[in-house]
This record gives sequence, structure tokens and C-alpha cells, in this order.
Amino acid sequence: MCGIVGRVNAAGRCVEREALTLATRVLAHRGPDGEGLHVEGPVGLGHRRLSIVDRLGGAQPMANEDGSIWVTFNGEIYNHRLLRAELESKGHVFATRSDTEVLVHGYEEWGEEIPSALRGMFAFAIWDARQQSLLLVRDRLGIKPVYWSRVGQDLVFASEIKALFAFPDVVREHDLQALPSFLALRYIPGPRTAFKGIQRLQPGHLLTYRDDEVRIRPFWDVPVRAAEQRSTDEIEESETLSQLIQSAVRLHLMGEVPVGVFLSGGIDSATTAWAMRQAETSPPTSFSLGYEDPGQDELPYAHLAAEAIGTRHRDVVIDSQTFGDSMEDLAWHLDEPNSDGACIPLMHLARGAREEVVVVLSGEGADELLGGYQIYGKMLTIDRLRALGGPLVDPTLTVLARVVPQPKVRKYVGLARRPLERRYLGVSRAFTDELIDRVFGPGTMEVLIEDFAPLWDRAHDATPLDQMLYIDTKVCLPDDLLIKADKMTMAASVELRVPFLDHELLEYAWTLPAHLKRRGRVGKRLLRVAMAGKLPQQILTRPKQGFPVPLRHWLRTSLFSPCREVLLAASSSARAHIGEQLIDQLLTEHRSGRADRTEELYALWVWETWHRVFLTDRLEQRLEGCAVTNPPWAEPAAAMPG
Amino acid sequence: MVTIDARSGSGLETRKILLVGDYPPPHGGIAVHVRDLHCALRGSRATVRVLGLGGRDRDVPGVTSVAHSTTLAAHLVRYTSLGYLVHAHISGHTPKSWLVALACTLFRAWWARAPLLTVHSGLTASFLAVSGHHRALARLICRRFGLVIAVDPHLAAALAEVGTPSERLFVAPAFSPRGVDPGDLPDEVAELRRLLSPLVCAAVTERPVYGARALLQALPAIVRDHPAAGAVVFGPRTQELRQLAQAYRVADRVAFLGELPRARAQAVIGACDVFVRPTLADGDAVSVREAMQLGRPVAASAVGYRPAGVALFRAADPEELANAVLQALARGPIPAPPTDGVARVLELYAVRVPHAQS
Repeated sequence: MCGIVGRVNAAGRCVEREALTLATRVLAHRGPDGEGLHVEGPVGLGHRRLSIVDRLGGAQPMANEDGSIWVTFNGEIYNHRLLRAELESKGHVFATRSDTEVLVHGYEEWGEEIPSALRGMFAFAIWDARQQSLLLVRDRLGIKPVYWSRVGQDLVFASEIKALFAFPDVVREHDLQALPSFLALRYIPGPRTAFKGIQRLQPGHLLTYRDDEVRIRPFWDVPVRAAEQRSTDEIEESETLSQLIQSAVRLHLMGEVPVGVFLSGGIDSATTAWAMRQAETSPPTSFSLGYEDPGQDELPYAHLAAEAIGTRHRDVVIDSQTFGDSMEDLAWHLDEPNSDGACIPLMHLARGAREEVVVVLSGEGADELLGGYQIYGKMLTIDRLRALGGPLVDPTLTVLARVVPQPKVRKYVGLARRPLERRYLGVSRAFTDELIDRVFGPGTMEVLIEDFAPLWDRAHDATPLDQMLYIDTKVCLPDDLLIKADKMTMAASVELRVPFLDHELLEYAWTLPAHLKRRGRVGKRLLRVAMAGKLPQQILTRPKQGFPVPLRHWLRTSLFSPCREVLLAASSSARAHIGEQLIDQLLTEHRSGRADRTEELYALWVWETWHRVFLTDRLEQRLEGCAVTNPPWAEPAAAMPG
Repeated sequence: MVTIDARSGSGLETRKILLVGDYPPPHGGIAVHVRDLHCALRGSRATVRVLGLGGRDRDVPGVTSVAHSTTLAAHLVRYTSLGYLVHAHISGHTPKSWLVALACTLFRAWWARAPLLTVHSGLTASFLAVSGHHRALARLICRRFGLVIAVDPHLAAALAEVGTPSERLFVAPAFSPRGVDPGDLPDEVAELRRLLSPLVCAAVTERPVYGARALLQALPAIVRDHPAAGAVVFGPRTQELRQLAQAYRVADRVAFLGELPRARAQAVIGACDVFVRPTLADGDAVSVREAMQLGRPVAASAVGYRPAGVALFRAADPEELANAVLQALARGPIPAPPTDGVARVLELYAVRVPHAQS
């Protein structure tokens, strides 16, 4: 795992080496083991390396034999040995054992079709000097991030937004259009970011830059129409799933460094750890996060799983003080506001893991593959009730929405009045629809819902469960969960791998009928069948838990004051845009226990902190800090195989 | 568990046998085994009838297709009243298959011999692991049979674990060399023989459990060592596999023959250089044993039960699959183990175990 950055100037203007060097060093946490630059006329590529595969020979940027093709690459190509064999049979000669070199020769052989041949997580850029073109690619599910922007006619890109600001002509301007999305969803759906003019390259897409023009096209999509098309046998499918998971986990163990596993005590991470144990002779090291406050975490389940599977286990424990002190670090590493409460605990878990391992596997993605989230059950129940009620449903719900006093019940009554495609916006939410319309004006939520319409159209023929899975796989997964997973682990220079998001495993999951994913209130039905007899029964029968963070309690007690101070400070942007009265109301309601405003308050706190870090002069200070870093390996380390 | 000395089985004590199970071939190991057993019994002094489950009408003497549970029950009543010994063949990995087995025990007269059960599927252990209900069901039903036959030792161990009495539990593979009788080689394959070498062969469908993806992905790695290598695959429903072959850039090296009659399938296996069984779950696959009987090297995924001499690879791992194929090619044919599951079953018809529950 690494950090990549680059710039291609229009009209042949040379790239400034100094700015590129700074941009590369901003990403030092992504790759503490080495740095490389390639600057040649109008193109500059930078790379920070976390050495995992071919640690001695895989320096980047990497070129082909005659230096006409250059690659800067972040990620892992798990099928690189097979591709190498194929390319060798076509006459290509390899100089290293690195997976990066497969991109060099693969591009020579297949051109822009190369992403389809890759199995793995990747974001890479290939400069083709003969064509004077740049190819920028992001993996199918968005496991690795990459951002891009036009500066006049030029193109800049990087693994993290902050690196783009090392180029003095990249403008830092808050995109206020993204604010309602963030407050409603806890993250900003791509391709938009929190900054005007800076975009995420969408998962499964490639960007080409040639003759000053940018062209973007998809190379893959979730095979949504494949659902329910074949007859299935539960036991046969469970065994197939088990084997495919084991195969994916084996692939994800690739490398020459120690590999660990994040073990929460849920079925996903326990399955991952179990599959690692099957693949390796020595027990893997597992890591779990706990809190000083007793009873707030999943450590007892994690210990149960660790003992049953036979991992060497370690707990990392944090408290509210650590959490509150990490807010600025969180904003810096995330680049954009994301108010998933699990971000900071994950960052500390990764820091703890880094003391022993460089690569960590996790169970991320299993819920999106196999229908794990509880909200799917709730939405399907609402659908069934709507179908049962017939024409009486809407009038009844309209009356109920007026008379029900409890906000939570009123929220669900309000949701039940809408069809699924206007009700479901993904698994994570912060501000209610009511609150969004109150802050930003009536109709704001409607606009947000409309943004999802193309996705609902694409999944039109699928079952309701698959429609929700599609929305989450296309939006929530890449723009919330995977951004969080990548950046919080990279902040600790740890490479996170997510075997459940192996695209072949995902494509298989999309051929399964809904009843093998959810049955009644139980999600991930097939995974539970597959792991029967392999994991303890308590793990198999546990209901789905999110990453537990005692934020509700902390925001009523120890973190109330820090949060209040930030939100109601004189310079507070949140106060300017949301209003002091509303913020005060949210704080008061939450502290008094009249209502649970955890999501709203934490979203505002995250946003305000991000604003301070990126939109004040603090950013310059941080960038300067990166510039003075002068590690011993800072000499340009470009590699030319052959 | 009781071990029978193969030399001691002499003739059939019971003259009238009713086989209940999937029929006809080429679909699946159960149907192949029932057909082989049917043929063998017809060649002896026994009277044999087959209740072919699945309702596919074929005009085979002595075979009745059964599509509904009521029809099955009616036939069972009739044949048991006529003194037939019932021998049920089930997969064992679905509740339905166990209910079929249960039905085969319900209509026996109190003086008649307890029926026999053969459990075929390599997935049975997984089915039993899922819940206590499954294990209880299997235990209850196995105890109603006079003999329970598992087609491989792993399966026998799983059935023993749920409480099948060891004195009634036997192992008899589903394979019999008497079923190996290759027919004519399809012209297409004869032509491919001239163009592609080595020629890899596999029996797959697009159902993921067959593992065809790994085979297609492995082909380029085999080509690195053998530039003229190619593959022939046969089996029903392979349209999606053709698309996959395109995606993996091997479409020009793979021939899809579709579904073949068993004899022609055996001819194809016999004409290839190596047979590959890439399944993600399996029992003791008949096709693997057929390939060995035909003198072909075999590479197979390390799932279920594989005979000695097969080059093994981890399921769904294209890289290991390619290496196993290369290893099998280098090693050449391995003598087929002297296995005849049908002969073993004929011996078992002579074994009486008196204490089955009725």
C-alpha cells in the first residue's frame, strides 16, 4: 500500500519538481519505506512506498524497458503471478518480482483494458509517453481512493486530497452544496468532495487525459441483474461460499511482511480469522478495540473468537480523552468530513497493530455482500406492511405522523409513507430528513433523494433486498466505509485488506437469491450456515452489531464541553451555517437525555474540526511540516526494470 | 463399523431388489451408480426394479419415473408388499433427501428385511453441521435402516458421529469399473487433439460449485509451460462459461462440448492428456475414478475424498490448479485403485443386521 500523486501539464509546460516533492511527502504516512519521483517535461509522478511485495526490487514510479511507460501504483494485485505467467507466455520479460511490473507489461499488452484483468485493490496512474496520455484507474469497489482535479487545462491527482494542496495553484474552497449530503448521510457521496473542483474517481472507473481532455468511463459494475437467476441448494452454496472466502483470504495474505487480523467478535471478522488459520501454519495475530468504560465494547466476544480460532490476540484500549484529542488528527487524515464514530477507534486500533504487523485483514464488506445490516430487515418489513395495508396505508400513516409523540417512531412512520426508492438512502444516517429541510430549506432532502435515482433505475429489476445492497455497494461502501478504512489505517502506515470485497466473491454473492442472504430477522444467512461447526455458536447467533463506540455517553459527559466549545466558538463555521439556536438545542436535548442527538452533534463537531484544519491557515502549517521531513531514503528512487 | 472381506460375498440372499434414487444418467453420481447397480443386478439372478426420482421419463425396462411423493409412497407400498428389499440412494445434504429415505422405511412388513440406504453427497457433513435438527433427523432415519452405506470414509465418519450404529455402517464407493465403456470420440475433439497439446479435460456446469472459473483462469499459466495447451469441457448450461473464457482471454483455447452421453464423455476423457476436477465441494467423484480407470492423469481440488495418486490443489486457486495440472502431466497416469463399489454393494445385500428400528 502506498501513496500516489501526479500532475500532467497542458501545452508542454514542465512540472515543478519542488511542488511534486512536497505533494509526495504529504503522503509519507501512506508509505514510510521509500519515496520516488519521475519528472519528465510536462509530467510528474510521485510515489510513497510501504514495502510489502518484492521489498528490494519494487521501487516506484516504475517504467518499462525503454522508459516510454511509467507507473505509480497504490494497492495490491493479488493475481499478479498468474498475469505474469500470461504476459511471459506472450514474450514480456520481467525484471522484478513486484506486482507493479504487471501493470507496466499489462498496459503494453492490453492498453486501457488492463483494469479488467486485475484482481485486487488498486489506484494507479500510467503515463504513456508515446501517446502523451495518462491513464488513472480506481479498483472496482473503491477500496483504494484517488482524487483528481483540473487546474486550468492541467490535471492533478493524488491518493489523498491534502497532497493536491501542495500544488500552489490548486484552490481550496469549501463546496457548500455538499453540506446537506454530509449532514444527512455522515459522508459525502462521490464523485463530489467537500472541496469545489476536486473529485473522487468513482470505483470501477478509469480516467484518460490526452490532448488536454479528460474522459471518464466505467470498466466494471456490480452485476445487479444476475440475482435470482439460478436454482440454488443451501448447503452446496454454503460450501461454495466457504471455499471462495478461504481462497480470497489466501490471496489477501500475499506479501513478505507480517499479516494480522482485526477481530471484533462478529461473524465477519471471525470468519476472516478462521480462514487465515486454515491457510497458515502459524497462528495469526488478532487485534480488538476496547474502551476504558466497562461493558461498552465487544471484547468478550473477540476473546471467545480468538480462543476458538487459535489466534495470538491483543487488545487496544482507548478512553474518551484519547477520542476527543484525536479529532484534528481525524480531520487531517480523512481529508473530508466523515462522522462515522468508528473512525477514531479504528485509527488507534491500527496504530496498536502497527507495533506488530504491517498488513491487517478485516471483515469489511460482508454485510453489503450478504445482507447483514439490520436496516434491511426493517425496510423489508415496512414494504410488507405497505403491501398488506393496501389503499388504507397512506391515510393511516399520514394521521399517525401527526399524532405520534416519540421522534423515533415518528421517523419510521414518516419513512413508511414513502416507497423504498425514496425511503432508503443507505445504511448510515445522521440528521433526520425533517432536520435537513429545517436547516437548508424545504425540498433539500428531495434533491438528495434524486441524486440516488440513477442507481435505483439501474437496480430496477432486482429484489428489494438487492436494490438496497446495490445502493450500499455503490455509495455507502466506497464513499463512507472504505474511505474510512483506508485512511484510518494508512494514518498508522498499516495496509488494510478486505477479502470479502474480492470481486470474484462479490460476483458470486450477486448470483444468490435473497432468501440465502436474509431469512426473517437474520442477516448473512448463508455465511452462518457456511461457518456452522467452525465458529462458536455464540458468534454465529449474535445479531449484527455495528462498531460500538460509546459516543452517546461520552457526548453527555466527558466530551460534552469539548464539543460545545468547538461548535459555539466565535469563529465556528457550524454556528454560521446551522445557527447557534439549533446547535444549542441539540446540545441541551442530548445532555438532558430528552433525545439522543449523538449523530447530529458528532457530525457537526467533525465538520467544524475539518473546517478548521483545511480551510484556515492551519493547513499551511501542516504542509510546511511535511516539507521539512527529510528522511534518509529521500533520494529519487525511480526504477526501470530491464 | 463392519468391514466385509470382498472375497466372502457370494451371491444374493435377497432375490428382489427395489432401487430408489436419481435416474437416469448422466446427471450426477447417484444416477450413474444406480444405473451401474441396476445393470449388475439384472445380470444376476435377482429381480430388480428402479424408482427413478426426478420424474424424467425414459423408456428403460424395469425403471419407473416418480415425480410426486404420493406416487413414491404408492410404489413403495406395492413393492414392499411384493417382498422387495428397498435400497434407497440419497444425496444426504437436503432435508428432502432424508425425507425420501424416511419414506423408504415406512412401508416394510414387520417380518421383512430392513431396507438399505446409500448416502452419496460429500456435502452431507456440512448439512449435519448446520443444526441439531439436521443431526437428529439423520440419526433417526439412519437407525431405521438395516445397513447404511457411505460412498467414502469421510462421509461414513460424519454419519457415525450423528449416531449411526457402527455395525450397520459400511463404505462402498459409488464407482464401478464395469460402468466404464467409452463410446465414439466426437469429431470436434479429434480435431482439437491435433491442434492443442496438452489437452485438459473437465466436466463442469456454470454452477459455481463446479469451479470452472479457476480452471479458465489457470489456463494461461499452463500455456506458459506448454504453448499449445488447451481445454475441452463438457456439461450442461455452459453459456456463461463461454463469456468467462472471453473475459479471461482463453476463448480460443477452450472448446465447450455441451452435455454428452456418458459413453461419449468417457471417450473425451480418454482422449485428453489430463483430467481436472476443480469442484469447490465434492464427495468421491465418479468422474475422477473414471479418468483414472481410463489411464488419464488427474488433478483435483483437495475437497471431499480423492483417491491416492491424484494431484491435489486447493479449491478455487487457479495458480495451484495450474501447478497441479503440470505436476499430473509430468507424473503421467497412475494405476487406478482396484475399486468396485457395485461389487461391494452386491456383497452387502447378503449381510443381515437384525436390529433396525421399524
